[in-house]
Formats: sequence, C-alpha cells, structure tokens
Amino acid sequence: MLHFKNRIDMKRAYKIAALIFLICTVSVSCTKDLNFGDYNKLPQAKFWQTKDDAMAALVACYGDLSGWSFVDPSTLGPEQMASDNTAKGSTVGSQSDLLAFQDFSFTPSLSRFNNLWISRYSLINKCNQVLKYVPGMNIDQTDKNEILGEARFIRAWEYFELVRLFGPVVVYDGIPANGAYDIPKSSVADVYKFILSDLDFGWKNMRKQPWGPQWKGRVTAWAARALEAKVLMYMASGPNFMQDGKAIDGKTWNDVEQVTNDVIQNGPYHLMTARGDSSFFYLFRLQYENCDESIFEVQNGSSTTVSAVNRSPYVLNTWIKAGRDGGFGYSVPSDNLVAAWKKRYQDQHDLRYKYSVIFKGDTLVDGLVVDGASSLEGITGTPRYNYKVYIPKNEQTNIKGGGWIHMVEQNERLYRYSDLLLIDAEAKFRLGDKAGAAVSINKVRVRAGEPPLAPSDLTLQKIWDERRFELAFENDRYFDLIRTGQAKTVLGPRGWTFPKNVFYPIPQNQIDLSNGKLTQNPNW
Amino acid sequence: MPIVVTQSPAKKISDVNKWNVTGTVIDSGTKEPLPGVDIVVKGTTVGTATDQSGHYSLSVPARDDTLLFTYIGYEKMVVPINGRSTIDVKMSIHNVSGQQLVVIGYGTQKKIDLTSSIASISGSKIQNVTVPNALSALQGRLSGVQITNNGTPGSQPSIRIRGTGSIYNSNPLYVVDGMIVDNIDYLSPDDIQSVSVLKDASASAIYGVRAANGVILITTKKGTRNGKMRVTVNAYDGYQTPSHLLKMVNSPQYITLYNERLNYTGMSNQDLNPANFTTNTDWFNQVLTGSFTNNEDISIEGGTQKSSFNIGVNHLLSNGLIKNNNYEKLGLRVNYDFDISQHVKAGMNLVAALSKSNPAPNNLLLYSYRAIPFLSPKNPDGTFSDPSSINGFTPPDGTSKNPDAMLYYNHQWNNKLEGMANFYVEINFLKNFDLKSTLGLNPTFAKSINFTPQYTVSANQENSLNTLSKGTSDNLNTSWDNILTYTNSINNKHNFTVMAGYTYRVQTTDYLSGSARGLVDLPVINQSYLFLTLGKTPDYSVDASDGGSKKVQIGFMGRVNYNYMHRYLLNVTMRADGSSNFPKNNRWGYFPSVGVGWVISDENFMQNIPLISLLKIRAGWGSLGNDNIPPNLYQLTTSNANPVIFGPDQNTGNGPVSPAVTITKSFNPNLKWEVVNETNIGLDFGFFSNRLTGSLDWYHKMTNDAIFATTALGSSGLNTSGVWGNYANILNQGVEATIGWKNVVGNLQYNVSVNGTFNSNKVTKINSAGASYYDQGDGNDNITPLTRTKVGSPVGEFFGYKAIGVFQNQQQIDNTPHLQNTVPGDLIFADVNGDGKIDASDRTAIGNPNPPFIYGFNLGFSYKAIDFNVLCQGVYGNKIVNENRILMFTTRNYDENFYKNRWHGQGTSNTYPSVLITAGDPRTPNSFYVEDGSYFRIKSIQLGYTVPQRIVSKLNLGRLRFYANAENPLTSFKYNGFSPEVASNNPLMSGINKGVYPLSSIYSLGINVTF
Repeated sequence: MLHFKNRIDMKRAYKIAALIFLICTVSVSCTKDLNFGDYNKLPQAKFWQTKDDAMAALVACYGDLSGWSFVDPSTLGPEQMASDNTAKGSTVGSQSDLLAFQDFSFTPSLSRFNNLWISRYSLINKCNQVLKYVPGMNIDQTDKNEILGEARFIRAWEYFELVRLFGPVVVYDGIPANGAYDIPKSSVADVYKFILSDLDFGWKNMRKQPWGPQWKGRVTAWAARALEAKVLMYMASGPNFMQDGKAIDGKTWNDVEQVTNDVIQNGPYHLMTARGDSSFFYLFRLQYENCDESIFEVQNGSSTTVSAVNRSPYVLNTWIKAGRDGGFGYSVPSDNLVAAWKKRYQDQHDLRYKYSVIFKGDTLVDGLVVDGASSLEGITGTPRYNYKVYIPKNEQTNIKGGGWIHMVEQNERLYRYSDLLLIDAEAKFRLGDKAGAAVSINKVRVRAGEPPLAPSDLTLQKIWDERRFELAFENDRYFDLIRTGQAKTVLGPRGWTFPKNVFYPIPQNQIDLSNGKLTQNPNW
Repeated sequence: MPIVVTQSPAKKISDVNKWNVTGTVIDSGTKEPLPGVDIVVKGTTVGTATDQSGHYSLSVPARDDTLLFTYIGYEKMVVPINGRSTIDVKMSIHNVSGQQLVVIGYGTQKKIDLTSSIASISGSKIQNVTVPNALSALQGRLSGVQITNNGTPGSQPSIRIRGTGSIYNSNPLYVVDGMIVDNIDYLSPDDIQSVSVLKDASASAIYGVRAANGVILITTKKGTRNGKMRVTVNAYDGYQTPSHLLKMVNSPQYITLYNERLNYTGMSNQDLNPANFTTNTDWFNQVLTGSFTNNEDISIEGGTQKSSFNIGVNHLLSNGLIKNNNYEKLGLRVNYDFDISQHVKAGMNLVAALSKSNPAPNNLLLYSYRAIPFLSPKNPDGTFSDPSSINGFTPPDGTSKNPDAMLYYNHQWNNKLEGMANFYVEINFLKNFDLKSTLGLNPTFAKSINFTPQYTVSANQENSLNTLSKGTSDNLNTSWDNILTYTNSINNKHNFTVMAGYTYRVQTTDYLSGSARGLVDLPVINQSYLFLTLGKTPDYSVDASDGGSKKVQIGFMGRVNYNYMHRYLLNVTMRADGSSNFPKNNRWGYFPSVGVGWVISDENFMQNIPLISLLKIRAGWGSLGNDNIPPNLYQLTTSNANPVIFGPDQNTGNGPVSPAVTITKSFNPNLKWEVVNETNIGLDFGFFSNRLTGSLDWYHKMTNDAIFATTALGSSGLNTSGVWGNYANILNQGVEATIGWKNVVGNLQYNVSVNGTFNSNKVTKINSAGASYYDQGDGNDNITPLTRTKVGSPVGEFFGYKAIGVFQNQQQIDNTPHLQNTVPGDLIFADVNGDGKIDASDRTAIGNPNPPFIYGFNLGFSYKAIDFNVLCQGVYGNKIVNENRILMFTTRNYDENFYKNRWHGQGTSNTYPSVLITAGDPRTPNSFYVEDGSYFRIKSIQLGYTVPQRIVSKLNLGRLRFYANAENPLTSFKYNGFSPEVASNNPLMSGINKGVYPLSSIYSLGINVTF
C-alpha cells in the first residue's frame, strides 16, 4: 500500500484532526436535539392544572351546541321537517335531498344522518374529556362538582337527543385511547339509564341557586332535575312507541309527576309574563334570554373583540330566503301547521300564531317588511318563516360584518319551563288528576292569550296540541308525535311506518366504518 | 470506451503562432466521414467545421493548444494537439451507458458501475423546453416518473416516482447540490446542469429519511477549471392560450334544461320564458385570456487553475390564463469552487429567487363554471349584476357569485424570497481519504397580502368593511453533512469506494398572520401602502395569530461500492436515522440496502459478438423510511374551541368572553417509521455500437406501516381530525422500459427514444382505528365518500354506485331494482349485491385514479444547422371524477356536452341521464361522474437554427442559435373538462377535478447565445 509510505505534513495532520474533533463534538451535542417536545401548542401536562383549564374545557362543551350541524338541515331535517310542523322550504332544487324528510324516503346513507351523529359524539367527547381529567385535578371541590355536573348534564342532553333519534346507540363513557375506538351499541333502556345516572349526578352535585350575572346561562341542579322529568316522560311513554309495548325500564307516570312536582314547587322557574299579551313574543327576544323561564338554552353572543365567539347558524338556516339580511329559509311553517294554527288563533285567540309565524309581506315589529323568495319548496301559498329566531333591528348589536350575521346573537331555546308544565299536566292527567293537570296547562294557555280549560274539558289530545303550538320549531314536535303514538296517524299518510320509523337508521358511513361492530336498526 | 485518436508523426515547426492542423473526422462505427463537425480551439473562439467529406483545416494560435470536436449526437472529444499537424478523429455516437458520470447520493459514479435504477437527464434537455419550472420539463422523459402539471402560474407539478407509495404525502425528496430541500420553486430550468432520479431502494437508501417516495437529485451549473470566461444568454418570449376551453350551455339551452327540471318535478307552471333572458355570457371567455410570457437567463462561467465559478441571473414572467393572475421571478445563482491548498478545497453554491405573484380569486373557476349564462357581468348602469336575482329570477343556487366582480375586487399579492446556500470544505489526506463537511441553509420567507374593499354585489357576495389580511412565514432548514470517503483500486482490478457520514438537519417553521377590518378607504390599492394599522374607522378591529413547528433529523450512514474490473459490481449501504417526528421509543429507523451488477458484455466470451456493445444486469434490494408527517403526532395537544359569553352582556358586544379549550385529536404514542422495502431487477443494453440503447427494470415496492390519519368511528368523538397511525401496506409493482436509437446518415443525425411504465398499485393491508378501509370525500361540499381505499384495491380508488343505463319509462322502473322516487330519465344503478334493492351496500369501486401506463416519446434530428425535436407523452387507463359536474348538476349549470347528450324522453339516451340525474341526491357519487383520464399530448415541438461557426466567429460569438417552440400544442383526451391533468397532493383525492386550472399552449421564439 503505497500511501502509507507518504510523509504526512504534520501541520495538515493537525488541521484534519481539528476538523474531525469539531465534527465529533458538535455531532454529539446535536444528537441531544432529538429530545425536544411540542413546539407550538399547549401540551396536555400543562393543561389540566387550574380551575381556568377545567372551565375552558367545560366552555368548549357549551360552545359546541351552536356548531353548524346542530342547527343546519342535518338537524332541521330529522327533528323538524319530518314533523307536521315544518316543511323543507328554501327554493326549488336547493338541497333537494331534504325532501326525503317529507315522504320518509331517506336511506341510511343520507349524509345528514352522519353529520348529526358525528357532531353529537364530538360534543360528547368534549364532555368526556372534562369527566376524565377534572376529577383528578387539584381544585376546589365545589367548583369541581359544579363543572362535572354541568358536563354530565350536557352529555345527558345529547344522549337524550341521540336515543330519541336513533334508539339503541353507542354509549361512549371515557376518551378514546389505544385503539378503543369501536364500542358497540347499547340497548334503548341502557341508554336511558345512563342518561338518568348523569342527571342524578348533576342534581346531587350542582348548585341549586341560580347563577349570578357573570355566569348566567350555565345550568344548575334544577336543570338536571327538570330534564329528568322529560326523560322519564319518554320512558313512561314506552307503550306508545317501543316495539315490546312496555315502559322503558319500568318507569311510570308517577315517577314523572314526582319530579315535576318537585321542580314546580321548589324550583326557581316561572313563566315569563312580564310583557302582558306580548309576553310570548318578548320571550324570544334578546332581553329575555336566560330568563326565569329558561331551563337550558344555547349561549350565543357577540363580541367586538373576539371574532370567533359563539354565533347562531340557526338563524341563517331558517330566516327569510332572500338577499341582504336574509337566510336560507329552511324548515318553514308547514301548510298543515299554518291552517291548524290560524283556526286556533281565530277560535281560541292563540296569540302564539302571530308571534311564531311571519308571512312574506308582513311588517315586523321594527318596521322590516318581509320580502325574499316568491315561493318556497314544500309549501303552497305565501312564503312564511319561523318568527322565534328574529332579532329586531334596533336590538341587533353593531358587530362587525354584514348580512345575516347581525342576528347571530339569538340564543336557541332548548328547554323551557312551559314544556315542564305541560309534562306535569300530562303526567297528572294520566294519573287521573284532571284538576292538577288543568292548573299546569292553563298557566301556559293563559300566557298565550287562550282561555283556561275546565278540568272536565281536558283531554290528552288537548295537552298534546298545546305542546305542538307552544313548542313549535323548538325541536320537540317530531319526537312528541312518536312518543304519544300520534305518528301513525299524523305522519303515516306521508310515509312514516311503525316500527321502522320509530328510530332513524344508524348512518351507513358509521356501519361501513365499523367493520361489523355497529348493526343497523331493525327494518332499515 | 473506444475513443480512438490516430496520430500522425509530429512535424517540427518553429512558428508557434501559426500552426496548421488538418484532418478527417469519421464515425468510429461506420467509418463514414462526418460533415459539419464543430472544431474549436479550447479557450478561444478560433474554430471551423468539417466539410462534406469530413475534412477540416484550421490555423491555431499555438502547437500546444487543445481542440474540441463537437457534433450533435456524438461524444464530445477533447484532443491535445501536442505539436501534431494532422489529427484524424474517430467520433463515437453519444453513449448513454458508458463512462458518463451520474450523480448519486453523496457522490458520483460511472454509469457503468451503477447497480441501481437511476434515471438522469442533462440540463441541456431541460432547457430545450420552454416551461417555467424544471420539473415540468421532465414530464415524459423518464420512465417511472409520473408528472402531473398544475396550470396555476408559479405552481409546481405533482410527482410520483413508481406509483403512490404513501397515503399522507407521496412527494419525492429533493436534493439540490447535496442539500435536502423541501421544494425547488426557486430553481430555473436554466440553473440546472443535471437531474438524477433515484428510483429504487438501493439507490435511495443512502437518503434513508424520507427517501421512501424516490429522490430527485439536482446539480446546478458549475464552472470548469482552466475554462475560458464564457457568457451564455438564453431568452424566449411566448404567447399562451388555454389549450382547451370547456363549452358551457348558452342561455336558451340553460332555460331548456331548467324547464325540464321543473317539468320532471311537477312544477312546470313556474317555467322560465326564454324571451325574458336574452343575455348570453360565456363566463370562461369572460375570466380567461391569452397572455404573454417571457424568460431570460444570463450565465457567466469561467475558471482558473485553482478556482472556477458559474454565476447567473434569470428572470421569468409567467402570466396566467385567468385575467390579472401572474407570477414573476428573479433568480440568482452563484457557484464558486476554489483550492485553498493542494489538498484542501472549498466552495459554495447559492441559488435564490425572489418571486411575486397575484393569485386569482379563490375558486374563481368553480364560480365561473356555475355562473348562469343569462347573468350579464354588469348592469346597464355599470354596476356588477346580482347573481342571486336575475330579471326577477332567483336561481336555486343561493351561493353563486358574479365572477367578473370576483376578479374586480380581488387584490392579492404573494411575495417570496427563498433559496438554498451551502458552503463546504473538502480535505484530501492520506492520498485515498477525502473528508467533506458541508453546511447548508435553505430559507423561505414568504409574505401574503389580501385586501378586500368594501363592496356589495349580492347577499352572498359582499364585504361590509375594508378588510386587509397579511401573513408572513419564515421557514428555515439548516443542515450539516460530514462525509468521509476512501477510494482505492488494487491492481486496477479491485476498485472500491467506502463512505461513512453523519448528517444533521433542523427544520423550523414560523408564521404570523393578522387581519384588520374597518380600514379607511384607500385612494390607491397598492401593496406597499397596505398596513393593518392604516387609517381606522370606528368599526376597526384587528386579529392576529401565529404558530410554528420544529423538526430534527439525524442520520449516520455508510456505503461500500466495490467492483471487480468494472465487471462485477457490488453496492452496500446502511443508514440509521433519528427523526423527532416519532416518539422516543420508535425514533430510530435502520435502512440497509444492497445492489449487485454484472456487465456481461465485458466478459471474454462476449467479445466476439460485435452486435452487442453493452449488456448488463442489475439487482437491488433496499429499505427506505418516511417521516414526512406532521410534527408532534405522538403528543397529546389541545386547541381552542368555540368560546362563549355568559351573562347579561352576552349581546352587547362587550361581554367577557370565556375561552374554550379542547383536545381535538387523538395522539398515538406508538407511531413508528413508515418503511418501504423495494426490490429492483434491471437490464441495460446497447447494440450496434450503442446506436440502440435501452434499459428495462422490474420493481416490487412494498410500503409497510404507511402513516395517515383515518376517520375513527364517529362515536369515539374524533371525527374531524382523525387518528394518526401506521395503518396500511401498499404494493407498487411495475415494469419500466426505455429504448433509444441514434444514428447519423450523411448530414442527418437523428435520435428516437421511447419510454413506458406499467405500474400497478394495490393496498395489501389496512387497519385504520378499527375500520377495514379508508374513505375520503369532499367535506366542504358534503360529497362523501368519493374514494375508498381498501385491501386489494389501489390507493384512492373511486367509490360509488355503478350506473348501467338510464330508465326509459315507468315500466322499466317497476321491473328493475331502483331507488325510491325514481322517475324516467334517472340513472339505473347496478344492484351489486343482488338483493333486489338499491342501497348503500350496492356502492362499489368505480375507477382507478392511478394510471396503469404512462409513456413518453421523443424524436430529434438535426440537418446541418437545423435542429428539430418533438416530445410527446401521455397516460393511459386512469379515471377522473368530474366533480365540477357533481357540483353543477345539483342546481347550477351544465356543460354543453351534457346538454347535447342528456336524456330528454324515452329513447334519447341510455348513458346520459336527464337533468335530475338520479333519485335522491344528484350529487351521489356514481360512475356517470367518472370519466376516462387517458390523454396523449404533443408536449413540445422545437425547431432551431444554429448559425454556422464561421459566421459566429466573425461576430465574436461562440454559439448563436434561434428557435421556435410550441409547448403543449396538442392534447388529445375525452374528458369533459379543461385538462385531463388533475394534480393533487393528497393521494386519496387524486384524479378528482374540482376547479382545476386550465392548461395552456405556449408558442414562443427564443435565442441561445454564447460568447
């Protein structure tokens, strides 16, 4: 090997040695660089630390309720358009897949179901995060219980919606980790029991007194108690819609009445009657958001400093189908509802008609003349819209932006005391206490301008009808038709069948994804 | 290789200033004289050319000068005069498989010694094509490399080397002058000396990290030692027009279709009357335009005994087909090498470019597609017309926009300064050792500005306050490579190179963006005046956000190249890579490879077969890694959710905002490297004195544990962000062939080359968060799923109902499985599972977006001073989803092809449905929306004229050539869209056309000058 005989210049050898030394030392120090962590986001370890962290996780649950899929046609279709209260609306051909809710021709692959399913579980996951991490946090026990109770309430609210929509659904309690993505469905009874356990926790751990001004809008123990009443009513109504003809988990109307009595006698709720004959109108305006009648509502607002604050796409989706200041005009009052209500307005002076439905050409309280599309799909005659979502111009905050977003502050009312009164009326009626039932229903009727009913005139149908008009467009009617067994007669002619349509189909996407783990509801 | 120089006895002549050399130049194979061979005295402009009989005579300045013989299609020859007066030369046809050096990872190697599949192309071929970016110039030239152009000015095409191997990101790795970079936007085709594409694992394994999808090595132009100072100017000016315009329906046709729709849905009383809608706007004509484009490049190169340099400056102006959409770039290149001492070399390479562009309005082409023909751009009073109310007609699509107004109110600027620079020191010691240390920087500084003035066209197209968004991003890659090489040869038989190295790379990204609403009106809208804090109205508000990421990669590598007499070849590499993108327990990946080769033609028993000039077989196996995934996937992170205002100030605008934070993604603590194992067997051959050359490769490329985010079951609550993990195995298998023929017949030299690649792409395993396949769709427009990736099928295979005809009448509907509410004119869907009804379980595979066959064809010839080249390329057998149609057919607009072919009564069509398309949602993915994506294109035609040397010499120039070029003059395809090239960076959504930019034909005139 020739090169070994070469004489190496010592100076050059030093240079080489120095370079190699430099490379080696720097290399060693660089290798440590592999051990760095997250660069730009808050790592988990630093998140679940303070009460503010726990609150931020809880606020995410509240905030999710005005997510797009909660108020767009994914929800409006199955929960409103499928009922006899609203029709598709908007212009011919626009989102025509929604027509399937008019004639019940939808299939499991309708993407609306998937949106609905995904958005609800996404919110449930946010609740589950709170329930998983907050118990171990080192924060004040009262605060902790409060936060856990609220997360449980919102989770119960969502499972109550899911079980009414889809029947047996997946009960996901916990957060996905290490491949636990695919949990099978639970029976309807088990879902209901799960809901009751959440509400029971909420009732026992949340505050009973209303929140002060800073936190107005958060739920209290009484909300959990009130929701328990509604859940129990569905369970007790099992014979009307469950295929086995039995009450769910053996719940009875006595169970319902026990809770409604408690809420009415000891709870903080009152009907809003401060504006006389116009009370029902003002109930849905901004100044009466989170009033004493409110049990649960979506907290929408406006901010001049934060642009991403919660806004209501509900208004956009349902408001006048028109250009400026307009909405999409979906889920509009149906021919059937308008005819029945108009008659009721004439016969019984039901003012709610005037305060719930507006027609093209009407002049609104602030002088706005309703204009927009000349015809809407799914209805005949003059275009009309849900008035409950409107914010008069003089009440709209001058937030930045134009068009429909002027009206985004509207809180969607999810659960009102008048609903609870009607639950109470139905429970008492079924238990034979007609006088007690009349007391409750008449509170609602009188506020609406209707004459009170004598106990002897009271029928179950009248209580149900009262629910229809009192709670119109508040996502109650379709479920109520099924619960009461009226669906067969009211929706049957449009294509609704028993028992197939008692529950919507599990979204095909989810069945496909599950690799056999999720099974389709019967008859789909 | 037999380069033969016949020597005549030297004459002793004392007059060194006037030395005459004469001789004949013949073809080494045919022994025929070569006319028109350029002969230049090296380092001067003194030169001549051979005559018809191959003779030349040249008076040279000095008897120790060197002559350069160049002839198109032949190997260049460098012949020192050495005092001779007669020099006869035998020139050989340019030999692709000979001694030519090929750039490989961390080094170069003689092509004959390669054991792996490397395709390379010289810069001169790239520069023969008038395309604005270097990658487009490779299209059709290399087997196994699929390039899909994107027509947007300044954009880069998408590249797949040997099929789609990764699901998250299948882009190859780029290495410029030895430095790994993320993109090569800033390179001009004129900067490039050569491109090597490392296709198989045994070639790429030395790049371990991220080499899984192939490696593209680019060398920029370098100077030569002792080279004369030389200035080269290349320039062209061109005019571009859309190569295909899609014809949409005109107003009467639209009204016919609209009324048919009403008729079928029982609402014919609302028919539109054509008399009320007489306007007829061709919206594509309205927004598209022909435009000029030009490119200029000046390079200066030279060298002394101890240093060399090549510097250049280039300028490109590329105007888009959309009005006011353009891209302009100014680039610099500085390459400088020098000897510090006999054993120490140093140098630097720098390429940088400053670019600015005016992007087109977002989705302009989609909005033009959906704009109704009887909407006029403007009202008689000069204002923009409202697309949501036309002469009392409210179009069903409430979200349409006036494209002219979109253009008018669009003020966007993107500026970017990016490039790469590296500095190296190389020490040669102990004779055979070489240590090279290279420090590299690859920064990208980008700025975007978007100003939208206050305006109102319609409820869906308005902006209530002057709005300005600005964003800046700083990305920086820093790398440090140290390579020690030992080269030796024992008795000229055992030749080996051993290399060991260490490489370190840090990648940081950082962005800051802000937007302000409520700025005062501006007299002039110019990007230099646009600041977020500029004149505030009372409605003023401002928002800001920022973020960033960091990634560290460390690698150790070793390689042995050994050959015995250049006949038996062996190549072994090993690489260990650590990447911070993986959790600590899975951070290191080990990537070995081995390659062997046998040059059969070098064996004694082959020497008597004169027909065969080269025959070589190669085989290689290797393992490659891919860490090209978002950072921090293995760590649980939180992000902001919808905040809420509680309390009485909820609606005043001043309430306290409660922040909301949530965990939006599932982290995967078990994430590990995605690894590709690839086997390659190849054959290189040359026949008839290498006139016919070619190579054939077979490959089997298996991606294991491909990383992507999957949709978990909705009930887990992880719908939107997905769950990342190692979920799939993907097999790409294929054959690549390249064959070329070169010859000279008298004054005519010509060459033909053809390449083709068959690739089959198949998923062999998938297990994504419990699911047995992976769906992807267009979530923005609620069209899901469009593709389903499952075992046994290609990645991103289209999924939906299979349309097998059109219902002609009610009787047929009654007798055929159908969707509820089906009416005549609706598509018939196949009852795939045969259960007598049509439902979701009848959806099936309806097309493969990955082309099974791609090909290219090049023909070049030169006759005396004229040269001519045609390059053609195409893809065959892939499918495209015409999502434009899916979106339009709901309610919006129709193309003329649909109008002409649609069903409009019994017997009118059994392939095209009526305007209703199908019962249920017309957007339901089905095979009617799937179209043939095959195309054949004449990519470029170039005709050049090189001014003869003797004239050029008088002008004191070295070379002067004029050319005319047509780029994309012809593309033949059946697809109903602008272009069959539908690029996507998401392999799961490739071949889905949603507002793809039209492709252009460019006709240009150019000049190449050297002096």
